Order: sequence, then structure tokens, then C-alpha cells
Amino acid sequence: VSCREHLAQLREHQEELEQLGAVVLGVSFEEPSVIAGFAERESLPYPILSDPERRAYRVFGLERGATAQVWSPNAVRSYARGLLRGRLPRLPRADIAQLGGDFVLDWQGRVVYEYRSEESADRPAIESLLDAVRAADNRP
Amino acid sequence: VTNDYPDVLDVELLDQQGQFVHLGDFLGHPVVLVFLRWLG
Repeated sequence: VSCREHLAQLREHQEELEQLGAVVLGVSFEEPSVIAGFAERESLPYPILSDPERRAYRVFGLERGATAQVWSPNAVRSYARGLLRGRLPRLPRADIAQLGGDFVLDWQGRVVYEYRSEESADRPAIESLLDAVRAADNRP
Repeated sequence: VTNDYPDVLDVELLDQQGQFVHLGDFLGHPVVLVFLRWLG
């Protein structure tokens, strides 16, 4: 799924995530004005933080993809689904090759779950993220 | 997961008001971090 679809899936589970005491943080390397417009359009209940130099991306080992990873069949299908819903992609002004990923930190800030996208439309199943959050509340 | 992220709590990000936020600010809660691609 695309980032947009992935965030929408997380939004649908926001209540459960809140009940688990979890904080959801999006991270983007786009300009703050682009991020703000995106967050408003998508009605996101959690913040999208900015990492313009992609330092956090590097700390978490997230790399740029090769062409075949960026324009994978899954990615093309994802864009096609968006077009069918009347959603025109924005002309890229940022690096389209940067891959994403999902991580869960436990209450002590330890990384207890990591998922680095293999290609641009590759995201973890929401249920696996929720399982990781449940396990992350591992206080003694 | 091998917890090989020595600098994770020092990771510095900017919120939508341009203020610095550190991942260490969220200690005490599970945190789901979603790194995005370009916002097409």
C-alpha cells in the first residue's frame, strides 16, 4: 500500500492505539508546508514530524531504493488505485527514491519492532504493528 | 530485533510549529514511528 493508504489504516485504529497508550509519529523529509497540507487533507489524528536532512532515516537504516523498488508493480497498482479514486499524484519535488519503514519503540525507548520497506508500496500489516505495540507495553 | 540503535533517543525532528522534538520526549509510551516516502 502507499504511505497515504498506510496512514489511513493507522487512522482507523487510532482509538485502539490510544487505549494501548501508544503515540504515533509520522516522519517526513518533505518541506513543512507540504507536510502541513498533507496532514490536513488526510485528517490525520497524529503529527507528521519533519526530518529534512534525513538524519533519522539514516539512524534507522532507511535507504534510497533502486528504480525497480521505486516503480514496483505494487507501487504502480497503488498509484492506479489512487487515480481511480480521482486522486492525482503531485509532481515530485522531493526524492522519490527514499524508502520508508515502520518501527515500534517500547516505553523505555528500545526498538522492539522494525520493518524496512523492500519497495515503495511495501508496508507492514497493521495487525503486526498492533501486536508489536501490545508487546511494547512490557513494564515489569 | 537486535536493539542496535544507540542514538535513538537523541533523534531530533521538527514539529509542525518548527520546534525540535526528540524521541526521548516520548519515554513512557510505546511509540509507532512511520517513516514516509515522498508525499505524492
